[in-house]
Amino acid sequence: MAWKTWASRRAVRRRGFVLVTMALTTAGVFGVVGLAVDIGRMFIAKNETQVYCDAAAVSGAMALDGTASGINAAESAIAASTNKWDFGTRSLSDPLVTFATAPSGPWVSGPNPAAGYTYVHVAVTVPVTLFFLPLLVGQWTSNVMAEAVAGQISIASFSRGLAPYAAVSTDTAGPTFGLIVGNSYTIHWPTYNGNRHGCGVDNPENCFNSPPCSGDPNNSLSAVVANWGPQYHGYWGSNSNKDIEEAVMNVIQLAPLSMGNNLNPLLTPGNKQSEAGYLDRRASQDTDTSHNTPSTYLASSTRNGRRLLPVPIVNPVDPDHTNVIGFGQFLLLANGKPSDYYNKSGNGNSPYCAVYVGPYNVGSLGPGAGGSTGASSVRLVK
Amino acid sequence: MRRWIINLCTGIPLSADRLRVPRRRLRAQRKGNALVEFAVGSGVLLAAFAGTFELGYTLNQYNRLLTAVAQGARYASLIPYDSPTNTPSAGFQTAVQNVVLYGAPAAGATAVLSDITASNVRLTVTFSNGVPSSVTVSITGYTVNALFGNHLLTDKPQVTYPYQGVWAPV
Repeated sequence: MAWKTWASRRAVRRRGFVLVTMALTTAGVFGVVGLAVDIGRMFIAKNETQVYCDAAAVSGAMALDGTASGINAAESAIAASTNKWDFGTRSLSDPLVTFATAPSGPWVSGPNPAAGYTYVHVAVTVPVTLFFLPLLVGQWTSNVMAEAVAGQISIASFSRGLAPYAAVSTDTAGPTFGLIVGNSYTIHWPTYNGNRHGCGVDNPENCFNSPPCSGDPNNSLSAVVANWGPQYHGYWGSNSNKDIEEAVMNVIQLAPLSMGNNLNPLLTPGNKQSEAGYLDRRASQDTDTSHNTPSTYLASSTRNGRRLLPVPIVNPVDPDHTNVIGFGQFLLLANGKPSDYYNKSGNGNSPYCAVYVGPYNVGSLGPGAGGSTGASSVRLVK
Repeated sequence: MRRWIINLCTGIPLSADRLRVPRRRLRAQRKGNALVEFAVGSGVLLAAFAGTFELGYTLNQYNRLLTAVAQGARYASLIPYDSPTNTPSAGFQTAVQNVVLYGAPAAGATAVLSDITASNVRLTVTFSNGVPSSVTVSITGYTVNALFGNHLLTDKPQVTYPYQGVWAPV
């Protein structure tokens, strides 16, 4: 009787042992499988959401222009980001979007006024469904978070991207260098004639066969008269027709250009007739050839940015030195499609005018928010 | 000397030799049980671990492709686009495909995954109002060869970036 009891107890103990072993083994197996499958899926979700945040932050930063409408445009661009998660099957919505004036913050949503806000932060959280780990961790989903920061980073040099023209200013303070948005500035100067009545540094407007563009201040005119005279017109590209085409249409530069460079060695008389043809051709590629002010052009949903021309801003300090003080973006004038504005108005004596839009942000359909150089490019900083 | 054991239940004395037989049988039966349990258990475990490897390997390959595709899309969004239409030039396309496959615009020796070629990297340039506005890079027609199964990837993973380079249509 006692032996049977002892054997029975031993069997019971063994059954408990098997139960414990099975439980531990099952937990271990689920743990291993969970590590491979659930954690693997979480890694992919992290990578996918990171890609979403990166691309969204870039598109948002490209739209910033220092105004409240730029903030709205950035938020819209981020909302329109198409990258998905969960193996590319699910869209992401409601990302947390904030803005800052520096990459370290502080971050605020929808700043107004928005001057100086050049960085955008995008964060998103997604719930990844767990299949095996719930047995161990007791939850059926795990939140995966990703974030990215992109901003308009000042550029001080270009090896490509600038048109072969220059705007003149004696004001060296960026980002606008004394230029006024909406004013018309000379990018290729009219023919100089020092024999005209009243021509002098004090009356520079009398030194040209046609008046320069309406926005050029007297200081700029004086600097041009004193230091360029009949020799230069603000054009710094090749005189070859083919090179002019590539310079205007493809913004291939004759040479790299940096802040502080002396543009003087690159200045040439230019070839106005050839230039006019390509300026008109470039302007005609824009899907908006009717608006000639920055406010109306930038508000147009049909624009494509082809009429925006990035050029260096220079200060002719003496006959041998024309210093690059910054960069800016100018709106080519147009008179319909196809436009022949420069061909019509660009005879040998006339200036080529363009309207100042603001700082140049590479790849944007509008001006940038601005920095000390007047030029920027969107980069991911986090 | 013969050993006797009293059966406590019945009070009948039993020889120890008589007890040894059922124990041997019991052990033999247990050995059989263990063999069956081991066969069943190891089969289940093997299937579980094989499935785990299969899924883990596929997920790992997918993650590597996603990283490569994101890198290619970012690169494509920055370099000058030298085509007047949404059909990229051969030079542009090759450079982007090389970034996806080798991590650099020039072709390298070892691709990100075995058997993947440039034909598996699809590049789509989207135009808005006549100018390039975004670039999309994806993997298509590539099969991840896992242990027991193949997984065909069609336009996955896929990454889109806004185009922010210089357009050179001439």
